[in-house]
Amino acid sequence: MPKTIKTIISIGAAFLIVVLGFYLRYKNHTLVPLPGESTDEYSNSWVGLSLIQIGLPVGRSGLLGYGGSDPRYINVDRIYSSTAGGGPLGINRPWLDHPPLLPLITGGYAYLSGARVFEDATARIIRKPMLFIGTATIVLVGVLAYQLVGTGAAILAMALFATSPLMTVTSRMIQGENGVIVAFLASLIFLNWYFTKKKNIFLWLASLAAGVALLFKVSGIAVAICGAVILFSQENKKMALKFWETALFLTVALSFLALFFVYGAAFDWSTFVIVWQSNSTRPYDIGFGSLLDLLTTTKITVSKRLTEGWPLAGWISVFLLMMREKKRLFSFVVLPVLVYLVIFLLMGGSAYGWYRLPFMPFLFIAIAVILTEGFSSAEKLLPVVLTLIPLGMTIHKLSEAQRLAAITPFWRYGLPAVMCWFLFVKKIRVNRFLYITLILMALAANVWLNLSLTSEFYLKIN
Amino acid sequence: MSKEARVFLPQILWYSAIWLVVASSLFLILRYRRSRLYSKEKYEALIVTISEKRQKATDPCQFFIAGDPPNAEGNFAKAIFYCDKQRKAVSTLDLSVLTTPDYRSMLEEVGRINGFSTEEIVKDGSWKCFDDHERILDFSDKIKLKSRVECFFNFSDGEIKTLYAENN
Repeated sequence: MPKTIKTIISIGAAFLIVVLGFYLRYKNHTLVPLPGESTDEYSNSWVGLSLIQIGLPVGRSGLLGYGGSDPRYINVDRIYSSTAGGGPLGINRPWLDHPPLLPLITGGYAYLSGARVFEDATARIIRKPMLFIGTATIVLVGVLAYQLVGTGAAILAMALFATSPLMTVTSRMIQGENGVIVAFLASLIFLNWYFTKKKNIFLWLASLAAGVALLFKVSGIAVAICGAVILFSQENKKMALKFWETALFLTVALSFLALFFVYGAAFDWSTFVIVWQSNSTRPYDIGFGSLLDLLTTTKITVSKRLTEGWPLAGWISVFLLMMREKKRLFSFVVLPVLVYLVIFLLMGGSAYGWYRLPFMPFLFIAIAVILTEGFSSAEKLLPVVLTLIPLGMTIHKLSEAQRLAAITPFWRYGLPAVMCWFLFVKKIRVNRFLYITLILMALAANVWLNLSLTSEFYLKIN
Repeated sequence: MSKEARVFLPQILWYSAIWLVVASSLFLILRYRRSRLYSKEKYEALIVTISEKRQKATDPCQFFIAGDPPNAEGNFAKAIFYCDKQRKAVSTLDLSVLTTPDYRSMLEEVGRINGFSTEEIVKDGSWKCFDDHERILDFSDKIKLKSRVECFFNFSDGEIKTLYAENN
């Protein structure tokens, strides 16, 4: 096939995946996750709305550092009749828990949509910007995978990330991590271009993107650390050059964190310091329980889950990539996971679903790399198993919503049959066809589960 | 100075200078906006004003505050509205949200949260309200902790007595 036609097909496929990803994120976005399950979503938007309206960030906080709060019932989306529990929200002013970029995006959008009081900032309004941020993440996942591996892996990574029910649901939430992952991916993409195109502008763009991550959430420091490690560990470069590149990168990235300090000082320096201390004294979450929980559960909020196999397959793929000699894959896929893991454990984040989001793009790229390699490899058993794990879990979840009793026997006997086939039969063309069919089935199951995720079904599976 | 330093150091210094200007401007703008825009009244309005877009309740039984406040430590009260013989709504309110802890404020706050007017309950006399079976005659009386405030619409005294007897 001529290269031009291949390019057109690839771009067309990527475009269709992005459109599908946006549609899946848009459908039922006001209903799932249930409004009020995480009141942080409203609080983040209130902070932006209050900054615009009264020049002071006002939001809900659970941190002890404030030394008390103003308890208020704010019945936006009538959350008190459903999800919020009976207690008032502890309102703090100035609210200095996190940097204000995401609040300004969602609160600003709410203001432009006519919201003037906190009750106006409904999920229908404030989740809209997240749909675009989530869709941008799909594109960036594709770009990074394309840079590292090529077109096939990029298309597959995008398709998996766009259709994963866990990702579609969590990307709707107004949580800083959804912004962090956009900046994380952008920073790595620019850094990669800096290495290949050798133009200084890309180092600057990578640094600025790392800085923007810090304006979404302080845990975005992982982006700065990861970029610095990548720059400093380059091979075949003079030490002085590596030092100055890293110095520039860190200066620019960390200057954004310093801007957050200026922001805190402008409102109330003593409160800012106390809140910062409260944030930094979170329990260090390392331990068998939290690590096992991270690997085996797929959370949305603190208590709500959406069991899915892709992250587990992604973790296995990351471990597989870790053992490879390929430096670029290690630097741009494995290292971000390891660096963020340290931050994740430091922040005591295992209890909250959204703290796990920055792992996800890299887990999906890792599995796309392994599955794409499986396509051209004669030995397909490992990628087949990595596809069957999430496919099985998704079908199991689907069976709670749909009547799938008829296909259960096929699944029960088909599973060992498929494994045995790939173990013993070495017919390249047939195996390749079966392999692609399996991956397409997994993607179709993803889409089907997404379309089934109404608020009733979401409540049922929780 | 090394060749690399000659390339990167000026960039870092220029960036630092620009950053200082941006940071100072940010500090001054935030301070200025706060002094111009912030007032306690505006803060209150932002928080307590009911959204015009929110659906109004047709009566006090349409909506409710579900669940008990987990951190109230006994400082709460229940408001139970009997709109007719079939329909009632139970709301639990953390009393720490009230500036004046009396029956009127409590019912008004429940009304504000659920989106109904409490005027006819506290003023009209078309409703009869009781706190732990005792008629509330003055809504400006201080509310007792863990009170059970029950308000009845179109119920005769006999019907209320029967209801209490059935519930006991």
